Amino acid sequence: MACAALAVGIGLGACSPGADDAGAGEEVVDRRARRVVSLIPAATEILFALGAGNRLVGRTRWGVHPPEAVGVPDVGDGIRPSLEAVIARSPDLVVLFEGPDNEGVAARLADLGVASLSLRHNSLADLRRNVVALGEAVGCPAAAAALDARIAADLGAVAEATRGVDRVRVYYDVWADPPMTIGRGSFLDSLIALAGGRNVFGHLERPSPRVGLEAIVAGDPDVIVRPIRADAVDDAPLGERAGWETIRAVATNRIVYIDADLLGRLGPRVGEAALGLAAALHPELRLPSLPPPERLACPG
Amino acid sequence: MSEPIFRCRGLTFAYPGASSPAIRDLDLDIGAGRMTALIGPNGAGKSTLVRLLAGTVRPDRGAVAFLGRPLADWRRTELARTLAVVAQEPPPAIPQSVTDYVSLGRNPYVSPWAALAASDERIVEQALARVGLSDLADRRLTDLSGGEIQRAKLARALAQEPEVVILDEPTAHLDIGHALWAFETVADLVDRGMTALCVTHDINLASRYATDLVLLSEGRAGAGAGPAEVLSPVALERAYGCPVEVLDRGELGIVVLPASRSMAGRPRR
Amino acid sequence: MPGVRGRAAGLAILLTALATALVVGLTLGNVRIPPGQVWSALTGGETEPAIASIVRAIRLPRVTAGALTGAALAVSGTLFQALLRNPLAEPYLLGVSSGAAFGAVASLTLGAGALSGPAGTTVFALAGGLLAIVIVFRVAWTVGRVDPRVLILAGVVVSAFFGAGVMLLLALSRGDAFRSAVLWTMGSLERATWPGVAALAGCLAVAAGVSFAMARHLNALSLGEEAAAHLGTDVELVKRVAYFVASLAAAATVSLAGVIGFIGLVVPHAVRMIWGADHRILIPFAMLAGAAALVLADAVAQAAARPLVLPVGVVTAVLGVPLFLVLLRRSHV
Repeated sequence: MACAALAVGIGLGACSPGADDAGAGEEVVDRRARRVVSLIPAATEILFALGAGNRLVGRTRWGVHPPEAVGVPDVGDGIRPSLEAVIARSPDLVVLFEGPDNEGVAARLADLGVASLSLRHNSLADLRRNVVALGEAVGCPAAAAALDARIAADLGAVAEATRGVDRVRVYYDVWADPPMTIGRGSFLDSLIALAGGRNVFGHLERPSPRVGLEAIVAGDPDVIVRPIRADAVDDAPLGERAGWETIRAVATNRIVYIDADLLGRLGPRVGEAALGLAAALHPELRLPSLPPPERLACPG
Repeated sequence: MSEPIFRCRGLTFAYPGASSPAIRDLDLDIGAGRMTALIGPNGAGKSTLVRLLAGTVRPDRGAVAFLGRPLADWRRTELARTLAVVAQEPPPAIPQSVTDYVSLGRNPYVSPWAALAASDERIVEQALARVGLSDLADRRLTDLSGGEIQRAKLARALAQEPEVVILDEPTAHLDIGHALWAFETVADLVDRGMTALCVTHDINLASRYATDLVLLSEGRAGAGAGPAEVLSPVALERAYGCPVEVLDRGELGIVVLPASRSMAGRPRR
Repeated sequence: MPGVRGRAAGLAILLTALATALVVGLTLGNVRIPPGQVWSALTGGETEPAIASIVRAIRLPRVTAGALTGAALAVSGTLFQALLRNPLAEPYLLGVSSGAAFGAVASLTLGAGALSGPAGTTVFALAGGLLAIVIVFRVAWTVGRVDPRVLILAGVVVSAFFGAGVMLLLALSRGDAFRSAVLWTMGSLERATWPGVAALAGCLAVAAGVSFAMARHLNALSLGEEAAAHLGTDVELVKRVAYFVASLAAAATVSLAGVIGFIGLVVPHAVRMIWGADHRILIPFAMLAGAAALVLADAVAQAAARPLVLPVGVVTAVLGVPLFLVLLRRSHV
C-alpha cells in the first residue's frame, strides 16, 4: 500500500494494490489526498467512517450512505465513469473498482496527471485491505487501523455467537429470472458462513453463478435470502414460482428479506449485515449487540 | 377478324415516380390462334405491356379485356389456367429439381397443400418431353445451361395447359441454334391452336415465324399487321433511331440489318 | 432430389430424432435423476416430492417450451426465407427480437409490482415485438404492396432503434435490472410456465396451419413475386398473411424464451438441402428438426456444467454451426 501513497504523493498514474514497486527514494512531499473522487460506494462509506468525509469531492450516484454522503457531488456511474465529470471535480485521487471495465479509465487518468487507486472489492479480506489502503491514501493510518479492528471485532462477535450452531442451508436469491445466486467468490458467501449458514452453491468457484431451477429445488435450502431494496416490492414472490413448493424454505415459509443496500455493500457496516443475517438464519439464538461505531478523526 | 384474345383500349400506365408514362394511350388487339411478335427498341414499354396483359400491374387509364372479359374481373388462379407467362425472371435462389420447377405449373389446378395427382404428374412429364428435357428431369435447375433453363421455363408454362402464352424475350442469351428452337417450338404450339405473344429483339426470326408483328415505340403501338407491312425502313428507323437496311429473303423471312450512322456515302468494302 | 420414399424416410428420421431429443431432454436435466424416477414422476408414480416437483413443474414445461420454440423459430425462418428469397433471412430480421427485448427491459426497469414480474415481462415483450413489426410494415407498405427491400431495410433500422432503446433504458436503470436484462436477451427456456407454453402453442398452431395451407404459393414465391402471380398466386395476400404469422411465431418465442439464435436461420436451410424446397415437406420437416435441435441444445445447456446453466443460444450455435458447415460444404449451394 506504500505504492498508493507514493503514487498519490508524486501525482502519478494508476496504482493497484500489490504493485509495491513505486520509486523508493523519491522526494518526500505531502502524500495525503485532499480531493478524492470515490467511484466505489463502499469506499465512500469507508472514508466517512474514517472521519475523512470532508476530503470527498465526488461520489457515484449509488454512494448515498451515510446520509452526509448525499451532500457530496454526484459524478454518475462508477463503472466506465464519465472522465469529464470526474476531472471537473479537480481530484487529486480517484478511487476505482479494479477490473477490465476500468483499466482504460485508470490509464486515461494517469495521462491527465491524476492519481488513481484501483481496489479489488470481492471478499472480506479485500475490505480490510481497502480500509488500510484508503487510510494511507488520505493520511490517516491510525483511523484506518481502528476501523479495521472494529470490523474484525464485529465479525468476530457474530462468528462467536454462531459457533457450534447447526448450519442452516441457505439459498441467496440474487435474481429470480434467470436464477442467479452467489458462489464462493463472493463476500456474501463468507457472511452466510459467519451467520451460521451454509450456502447451497458455496462450492461454485464464481461470484455470481447462473444456476438451474432444478438445482435450486434439489438443493432444498432451509432458508432463502432475498435482498430487496427498502423501497422495492417483491416482483417475483417465491411461493408463486412453479416447482418451488417442495423446497423446505418455501414449505415452512422461511424466506428472509434483507435490505439490499446493507447486504450488498462491502463496507464498514458489514458486521451489522452479518448480525442481521445471523438473526434471520437463527432466530433461536441470543445475539450480542454490536458496539456503536466510534467516531474516528482524520486530521489534515 | 374474330373476337381478339386481348383487346387494349386507351391503355396508359406510368410507374410511380416516373416522369413520363411507360405506356400511353395504347390501342391493341391480339388475334386468337396467331403468333404475334412484339418488337421495339429498349425502353419502348414492351415489358410493361406484358405486365399489363398479365395483370401484374393495373393501368392508370384504359382497360384490357382478355377473352372478352375485363382482365380485372379474372381471379388469379382462373387466369393462370388460361394464360401462361414465360418472363425474364432471375433463376430461383433456392435449389430445386427440374421436375419440381415444372410442377409449379400445376399450381393453378391443385389445392395449395395437396400432393399432385397422377394426372398432374403425367402433364408435367408431357411438358418436359415436349421441350426435350425428359432426361434432365431429376437434375437441379441450377445445374442446367442457359438454353436448358429456357426450355424448363417453357415446360413450366406448358404445364399450366394455357390457351395463351406470353413470352418475354424467349431468345435472350441464347445462341442461334437455341433461338431457332425456341421460335420453332412456339410456332408449333400455335399450329396446334394456342395463341402466342412473343416479345423479342430478334426481328429476323420474328419476321419468319410470327403471323402478326407489332412495333412498339415510346409507349405507342403501330397497328398489328404482317411483317412485310410493319418492317418498313422508315418506320424502323424512326423507332430505333438508326438507319436500317431491310432485305426480303423469301422463306428465310425479312432480314433487318442496322446500318452505321456514319455509313451514308461510305463506299462498301 | 428425394422422391416419395426419401421423404417418408426423412419423416421417420425426424420423428425419431424428436422422440430421442424429448427423452434426452427429460432425462438429462440440471440435476441428475435416474431415468426410472423421471418416468415414475411423469406417470404419477411414487417419487420423492422434490423429484416430482423438478420433473413435472420445471423440466417438463421447459422441454415442452423447447420443442415448441424450436418448431416456431424454424417455421418462422422458413417463411421469411421464402418471402424474401434471401438466404440470410431469419425470424429476427424484422426487429421482433429488439422490440421484444425493449418491451421486456422496459417492464424490468420502469415497471413496478406485477408489471415487472415474469408474467408482466412476457406480455411487455410480446407487445414490444409486435410494435416493431407494425412499424416496419407501415413503412414498407406502399401503394398496396409490400416492398421486400424496404422491408429488410426498415427491419434493420427499427431493430437498431429498439436496440438503442434497450441500451438507453439500461444506462438509466439501477444496477440489478442490468444483469437480468442482459441475460434476458441471451435466451433461456427456464422461464417457461404452462400458461406461457400454451400461448406459444396457440401461436405456433396458427403459424404452422396457415403456412402449410399456403405451401404451393410459397413454392411459387421462391421464383419471385411476378412469377408467382403468373402461376395464380395472390401475391400480396399471401405475403401479408405469411409475414404476419411468421412474425407472430417469432414474437411468441421471444416473449417466452428471449432470443435464441441459429435455429431459425439454419434449420430451414439444412432441411432444404436434404429434403428439397417443397414447402409442403419443408414446413413440417423444419418444425420437427427445429424442435429436436432446440430440445437437445437445451439438454446440453442444462447438463454440461451442472448446476450452472449455459445460455441455450450459445449451445445451439456451438453445436449447430459445425454440423451446418459440413452440410454446406457437401451440398455446394
